[in-house]
Amino acid sequence: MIYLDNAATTRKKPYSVYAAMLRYSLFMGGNAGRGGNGLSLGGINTILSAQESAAKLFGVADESNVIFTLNATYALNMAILGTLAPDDHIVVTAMDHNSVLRPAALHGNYSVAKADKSGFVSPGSVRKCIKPNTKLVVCTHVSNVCGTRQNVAEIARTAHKNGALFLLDASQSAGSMEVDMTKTGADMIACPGHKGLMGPMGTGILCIKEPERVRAIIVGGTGSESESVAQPDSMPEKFHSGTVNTPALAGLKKGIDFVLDTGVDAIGRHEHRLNTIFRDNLREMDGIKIYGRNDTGITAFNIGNIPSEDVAAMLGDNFIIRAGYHCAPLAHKALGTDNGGAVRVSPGYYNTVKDIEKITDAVYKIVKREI
Amino acid sequence: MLVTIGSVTTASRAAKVIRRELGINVQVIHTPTQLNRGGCSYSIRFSDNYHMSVKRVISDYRIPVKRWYSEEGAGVYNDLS
Repeated sequence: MIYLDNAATTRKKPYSVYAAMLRYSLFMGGNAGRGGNGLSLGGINTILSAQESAAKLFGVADESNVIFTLNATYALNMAILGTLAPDDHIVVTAMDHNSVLRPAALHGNYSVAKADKSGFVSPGSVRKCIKPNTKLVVCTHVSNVCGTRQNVAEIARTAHKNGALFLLDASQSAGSMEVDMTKTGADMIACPGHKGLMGPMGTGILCIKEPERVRAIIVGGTGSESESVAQPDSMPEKFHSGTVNTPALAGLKKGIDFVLDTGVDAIGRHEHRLNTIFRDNLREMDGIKIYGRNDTGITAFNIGNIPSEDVAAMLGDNFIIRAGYHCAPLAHKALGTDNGGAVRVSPGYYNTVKDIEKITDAVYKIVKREI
Repeated sequence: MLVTIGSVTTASRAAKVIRRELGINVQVIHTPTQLNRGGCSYSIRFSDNYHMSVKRVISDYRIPVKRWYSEEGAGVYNDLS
């Protein structure tokens, strides 16, 4: 079996990730922030260490402004619904995932910036959507469907020029390219911990530049200011209600450290190289349509009129890829694949050229109807 | 020297950055009963010699603290805030 669905999750993690989770579960295991005993303090230090690593990766000046969530969807919901008041307007883009589109739709007052056929959203397209009451602009850094990279720094400038905040969805870019809070101009960055950051599932990150501008939409026990029924303002407790998944954060910290040690440029270069080889191979075959730009480590394609789900079925369990709509219906509309979706192949750091050769052969057999 | 802090997470963070910046011994403890004005409160404890250095680190890292006390003897504290 060859795993090529790293846009969904990185299946293989560095050994240090598994070891850290096991070590925490076996030898620590106190509830972080609940008491001053050694186990509880050990839990807090695990969270603080993970915050330090994440702050370093994302260029966050104050590490206490790094919040851990269940996944990117929770982080995006917390950022979107915690920022908007009922009369506020939000701008999202056609390339955004449903984890952005659905909270925007739930809020109600939203506009969608259009993308071109390559999946690129021009800053001008965002500008056209901005209204006097636009409070927030959200954009995905890299499309989870086709891998097209957006000019997020320019989109951030557009948002700020109009007095809006900018939320960057770094779900597909974190760990594979530089995602710096200052350089991107992001006021908030949301991403999963289990994709490019190599952490376990059930982890996500939200970095907030100005936490006072975001309400906590989930409140409860934080282990602090327990004498009050009001949610504390201190960070990260304001957004850390309930018991935190500390064993997973021990693993996530090691995943981020692996990314920092290896270098996002090296990881991104490797993934892009594999992607380029695959795209070049596909171009040699008849009847294949490739979507999006070759910016990252994601390729979307279709083979003639064969439904994408059928291609996935033909590849079977030998190749783990993803077909369909990838939870991004408007992106498929922009790419012209809204009638059946597309096949997505997304190599990761642990894939090799050999893996790409093997899936190329398998796709070729489908083209020749040999499967 | 004792600095009272609202949460054990913030107290732990304060201890961590002070250790990192100054290389001194800092403990996170439950705030003594006579200083606890209700609810969960934690403090960091360190030698009086580092009062000003710790103050600078806490200010640099913008760590929210409540009050500063010097320890005058067993269970006797002098409020410096």
